[in-house]
Amino acid sequence: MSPLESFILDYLDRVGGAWERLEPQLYQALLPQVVLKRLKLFSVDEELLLSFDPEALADYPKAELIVFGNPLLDQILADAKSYGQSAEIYLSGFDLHPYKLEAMIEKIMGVRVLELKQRPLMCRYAWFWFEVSLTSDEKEQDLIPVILDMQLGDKANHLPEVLERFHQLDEPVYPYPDAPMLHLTELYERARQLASGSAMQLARRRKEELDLRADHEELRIKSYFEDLHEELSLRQGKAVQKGEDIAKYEQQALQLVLEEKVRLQDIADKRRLELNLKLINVLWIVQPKLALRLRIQEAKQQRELEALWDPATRKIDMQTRQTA
Amino acid sequence: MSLEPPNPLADFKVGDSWLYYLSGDFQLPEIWLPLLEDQTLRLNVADAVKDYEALEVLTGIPLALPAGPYQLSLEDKPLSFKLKPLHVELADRSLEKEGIKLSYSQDDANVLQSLPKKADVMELSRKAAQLSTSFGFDELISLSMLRGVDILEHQTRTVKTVLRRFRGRAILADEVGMGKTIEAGMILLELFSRRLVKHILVLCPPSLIEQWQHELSRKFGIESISHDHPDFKAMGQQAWQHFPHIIASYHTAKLQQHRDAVKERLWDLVIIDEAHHLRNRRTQTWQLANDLKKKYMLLLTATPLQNNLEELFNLVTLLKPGLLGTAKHFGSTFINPKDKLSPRNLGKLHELLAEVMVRNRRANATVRFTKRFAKTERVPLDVKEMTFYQQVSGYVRANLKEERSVAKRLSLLSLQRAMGSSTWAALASLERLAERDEVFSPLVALAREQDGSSKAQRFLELLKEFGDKVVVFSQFRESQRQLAELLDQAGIETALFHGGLNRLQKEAAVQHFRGSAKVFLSTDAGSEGRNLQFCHGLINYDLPWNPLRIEQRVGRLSRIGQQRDVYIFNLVAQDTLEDDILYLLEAKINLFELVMGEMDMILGNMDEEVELEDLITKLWLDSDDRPSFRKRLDALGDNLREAKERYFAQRDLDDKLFGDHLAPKMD
Repeated sequence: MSPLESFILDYLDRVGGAWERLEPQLYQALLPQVVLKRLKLFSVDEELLLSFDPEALADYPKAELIVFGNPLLDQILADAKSYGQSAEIYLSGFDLHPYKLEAMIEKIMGVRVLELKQRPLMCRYAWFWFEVSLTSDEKEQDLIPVILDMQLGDKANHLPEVLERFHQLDEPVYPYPDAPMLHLTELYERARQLASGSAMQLARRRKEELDLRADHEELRIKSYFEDLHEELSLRQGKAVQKGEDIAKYEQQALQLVLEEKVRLQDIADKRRLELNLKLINVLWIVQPKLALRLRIQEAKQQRELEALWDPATRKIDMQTRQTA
Repeated sequence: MSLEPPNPLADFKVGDSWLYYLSGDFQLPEIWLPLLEDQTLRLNVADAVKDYEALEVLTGIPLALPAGPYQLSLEDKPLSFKLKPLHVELADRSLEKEGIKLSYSQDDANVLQSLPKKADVMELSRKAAQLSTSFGFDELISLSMLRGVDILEHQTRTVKTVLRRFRGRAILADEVGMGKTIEAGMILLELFSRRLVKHILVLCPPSLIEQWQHELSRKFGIESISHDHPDFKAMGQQAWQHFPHIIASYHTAKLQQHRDAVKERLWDLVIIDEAHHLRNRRTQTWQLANDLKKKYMLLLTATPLQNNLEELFNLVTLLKPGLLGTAKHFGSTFINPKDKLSPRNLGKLHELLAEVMVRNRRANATVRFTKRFAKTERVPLDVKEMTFYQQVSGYVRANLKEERSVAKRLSLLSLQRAMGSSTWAALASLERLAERDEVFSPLVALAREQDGSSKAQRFLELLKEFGDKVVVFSQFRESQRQLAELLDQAGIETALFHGGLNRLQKEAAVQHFRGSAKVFLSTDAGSEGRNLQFCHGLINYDLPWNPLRIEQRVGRLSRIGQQRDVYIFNLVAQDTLEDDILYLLEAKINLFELVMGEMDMILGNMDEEVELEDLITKLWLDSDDRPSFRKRLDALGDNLREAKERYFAQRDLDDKLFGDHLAPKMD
């Protein structure tokens, strides 16, 4: 089964539709009215025949051939994209009473812990997916993921590995309060800035290629038309010497000017590069961590600080406040 | 910003809306202020501005409020309005000096604020995003959409080269049999899938229109309309603007009544097949191709060069004017004045051509074709069979000469072809004719008197002699049906394949043959695209008069993926018209040894305007007897042989000139 076929069946299931496989690569589908409306399928009364094989159309002329470029597929993809743009998962299975936490902190920080208070808090990550589109005379797209810790806005590239190791649930399991977070706007800005950075690198590379090519083409066209004009004026000169009518040469020269203008405009158009960044999905990930309040002895000084213990990585992943 | 307000005291209905263009600083219309203060009016104009400001903050981009249009609509009673900009562009102007326009999507806020769903629900959205994302041309997204195509390494390399390096403007000059059409289709599909092309024009010789239409639909899933389709004709000139994917002959497109309409439209992609017809820039066809407004253009030809190197210049200039300089410059730089086919500065010429032309050769592709061995079985007919043959054939010839009705002519020709296949096929044909005209009744009676078939007998012997799986082609269902019966009686397991089967039955027939069946009994219709390379024996129980169809039959087995040498057996009744046609095709031009596609090139090199099968029919009708027909066929054969030699000469010239210099490079 092709990825497209499996996607469509998945889609039908998710939106509350029903389907039946009539033949290989041919399905009969029923969709709720509300979905039909979303897909702008106003004329479909009952069933929808979907085929992934053009040959099936000979036997089922009413079937929709689902291939890229088909308007129905475009609608389905757009609908599916907007259907679950964001999701939230809760991670579980953490050890929130780590054995000899103090000793571990001392080892990690290289200090002596005089006092340790701890309480569990629910911390969050946001996993953004941005779609980058670069459009010139070709179109190139890419998906850029950015994962941020929502407490500090730091990149959290370790998260995919954490997701593999811990249970993912749809509902919260830990009854702990939320840790303070960055404002959504600030977080989004940070994510987009990171995504733009990667996208801009690609865009600048493409722009450089475009310009190089356009410079080359422009030079070629200019020199080509210069040569054509020169050849024409030579012919015109000879015609003058022979006393012939030169009106047609003048006409040709004018045509050359116009044609050159069109060609150069074409090249100028080819220089244009548009970069669009679009947020496609966000996955909110909730994980418990231990908020720590520490009094430590460092050299001859005592300090108080706040930190978070990440039971997934068994590391202290941030320090929120330090007091002398 | 100011509004030209509606009077809020008027009786609005929910859903009423007005369009506004805003300018200057925002000020609420005075007439609305009292209502706002006593909260009778909940006007979301301010909210809209706030939304906008929030968007500004959210995006971190200094936004200019667009002048409009805005939609002001009454959301609810009493008097709750919402103002929203219809078009918002979030563009970062700071990059404009670099020539890059960076924009963000205004929907980002919606994504951030959307109600989180379960992760597996979002997975669907993620999959949709993946499927609708067009990554760079390094990864061809169309490959998975191709059907019944064995994609070869040189083809994907060509597609990437054309898309990445040539920016979709190229001459595809592969040697015959390397799959230029597939490459062009792959490029088309790649651009189409990325929504870079919508309006497509394919220009080709009239004989290839149907083939293009079929291939685009069958292999690439792209439906098109031909210029001779009734719907197209009915629309007149407007059809050129109306239909998105058009296939037309260049002869039609260049006609006065079409030319302007064709030139008027902006075509995203123009494909010109057999582009050697555009070698002369003084022709209307070249001029038309030059005048077309097009974004991408592909020129397909196996022989870009015939009489003069300038022909190459003309083709290249269509795609990249100036690449080879002016015609005069090209002549003085690259053409030997003493021999117009001898290049000068060949290295430089290769370098320039490599910016616009691809040529794959069998010699340097990873594809290896196995050998073919053809054997003709000239089966003597017994007296009864021969009498029947001569009577029917004589009747056909005598009446065809006089017949003016196209339908009747076709029926008679079909009868003659059926005679070349089997008595069974002829009988079926005669019975149909006799239903309308009693004159055929005696011939029907004669056909019914036939018992046994010398050809069928030899066919069964041949199967035993060959011993391995065999594909058997026949043009006629009735021949096929009777052969199936004979095979059944002989205890030979047979898979039956014809155009009347639906796709599942067709697939089942192929699976049957792949499994236990020894014989795959097929008509010409429908076997295209099916993988039969696991078999290496082919029997032509009858032969189409059109050599291109014979070539297609052979091509079902003798193709990429075939591991063994292919054996072709042609069954033909001795001393018949079909015997003579086979002599022409085999002895004169070695049809069965030609590479797939070469026959087309040879026919293209003939001066004749009519199709070969029509030419053969004409010669047959014009001849009083068989010796005279053979004589005429010999003359035609000589023409064909000359055309073949001309084609070989062109091929050798192209080889000599281009060598492997234009093969697309490895990644």
